[in-house]
Amino acid sequence: MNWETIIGLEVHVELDTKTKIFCNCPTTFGSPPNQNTCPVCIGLPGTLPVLNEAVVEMAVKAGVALNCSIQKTNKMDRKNYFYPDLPKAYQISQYDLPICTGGHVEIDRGGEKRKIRVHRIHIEEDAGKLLHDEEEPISFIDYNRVGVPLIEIVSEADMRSPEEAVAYLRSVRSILQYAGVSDCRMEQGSLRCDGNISVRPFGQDAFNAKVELKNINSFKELQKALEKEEKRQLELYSFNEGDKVVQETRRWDAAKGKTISMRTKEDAHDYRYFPDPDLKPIFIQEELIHRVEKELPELPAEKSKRFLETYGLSLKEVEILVNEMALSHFYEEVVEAGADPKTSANWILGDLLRVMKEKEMTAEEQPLKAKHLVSLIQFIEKGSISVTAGRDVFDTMIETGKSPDRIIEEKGLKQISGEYELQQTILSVLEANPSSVEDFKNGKKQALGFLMGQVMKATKGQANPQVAKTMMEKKLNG
Amino acid sequence: MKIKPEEVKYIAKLAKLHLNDAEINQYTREFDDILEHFAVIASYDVESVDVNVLEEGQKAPLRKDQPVLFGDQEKLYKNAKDLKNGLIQVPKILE
Ligand SMILES: [Zn+2]
Repeated sequence: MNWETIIGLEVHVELDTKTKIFCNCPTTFGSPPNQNTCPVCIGLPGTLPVLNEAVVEMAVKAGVALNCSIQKTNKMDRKNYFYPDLPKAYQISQYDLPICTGGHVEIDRGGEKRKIRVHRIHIEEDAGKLLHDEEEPISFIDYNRVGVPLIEIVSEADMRSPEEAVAYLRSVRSILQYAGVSDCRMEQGSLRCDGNISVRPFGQDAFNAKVELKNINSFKELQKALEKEEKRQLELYSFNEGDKVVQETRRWDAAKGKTISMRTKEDAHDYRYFPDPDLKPIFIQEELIHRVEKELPELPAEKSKRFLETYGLSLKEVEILVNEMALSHFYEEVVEAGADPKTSANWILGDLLRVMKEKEMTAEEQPLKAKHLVSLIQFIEKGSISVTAGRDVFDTMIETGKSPDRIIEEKGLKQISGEYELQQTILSVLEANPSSVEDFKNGKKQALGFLMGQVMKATKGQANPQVAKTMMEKKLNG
Repeated sequence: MKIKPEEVKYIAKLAKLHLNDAEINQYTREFDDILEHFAVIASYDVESVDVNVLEEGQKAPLRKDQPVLFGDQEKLYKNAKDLKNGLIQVPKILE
């Protein structure tokens, strides 16, 4: 039997506001524990939440960027659950009237565009962080994250493979980054993702029981978690144990590489939502939507189009550059400073990505300065250093942050391109190797390679090979 | 009676409350009274009210996005049983 996989994603994104959603506490990441808290966000009796206008604006921005309709009337509800990361014992969220509905995102599947529909986007507050002691039976609570504004983007169950789910998440992430809604750093938890997955025989209309996967922290883990769960379900169905695939929440354990049922969550789905009596409905003015539409920066799709038209890069190259906003900005900075577009792309997609991978750095963290890469590219272009020496300079720039001219100077990498400087060396080499010269003249062309090697050796690799070769050939043929 | 004791027991479980039989009976009665009151509100016909019509007085007040530190964490966490390096210490929480 042929099976079809059905996947939907719920993506949580921390909005890039300065303050929390309902109080003036700062949202700074990495502050001392519980410093960014006040009576409002820890829910002390007698306090009242007041909505942050930047949250409304950014949620509208996200909606516009993801092609949603903005719901002019929307409201906040209480989602009740009892867990120590939530000081009020309810989370303020949106239930039946979310701020945005019905959008879509385009993904690329093997050169073919596919539309993944967005069901809705709602705004809500984040919960706190729990830390568990390794030795003693105690836990610790840090409420700094409580009340940090989030949007939750709920997709339709439109994805048909783990690859499509990853492509969708990548696309959502880069669109929101470009829109200026969030930095979307998965490693810092400002973008988190839950996946819903089920499988059914091809041609069957009804959905089988779906499993919700939690605790996914990277694109790689998303792919792995979905693949593992897909396989688990398919195996159960194929062994006639389909009744063991039940609607449940399973936690992805990255270390063990498998999903584990979370029985503690069994009752948790009865959240008893009701409208928050402390907060009036939100009305979105037409002017706000128009302003957001007008001010929306260039989004990934437009940028890709422009890169393709302007810089003569391949589709694949453009895709990699544009997917990472910081990388695309870096690239444009380099090109705008006068470096050749194709050469710049080669350095960034080759050596820079290699170094980033080795050092496990994100595009935001990589230390290379645009002006340094520009000057390195120009040194090579002018023939001042060889491409091989350039690689060395590049790695040293990453390690030390020094400028290329200083590194070239310190390492003595300057290439000898002047005919005057090379003349004496070439003459000496020819004089010292009369038999090779004889061989060349008798038609053994590979003797040239040997003689060139001698020139490179004599100059400690600093001779410009093109220049030296031309001079040598002239001498030998002359 | 619209509410049954079983429902009260279930809601108490969701709220992590342990109630004895007398309390369950009492809350069943009180829940019922509250629901009767809501039935009065629900009897009004609001079909023709357009929630999308904006009236100045209905709008949620909004706040500027300007950070202010509360500052007095000592007072804020005065009632916390145990604090360790600013963290609230509690018995082990299971995931
Ligand atoms: Zn606060």
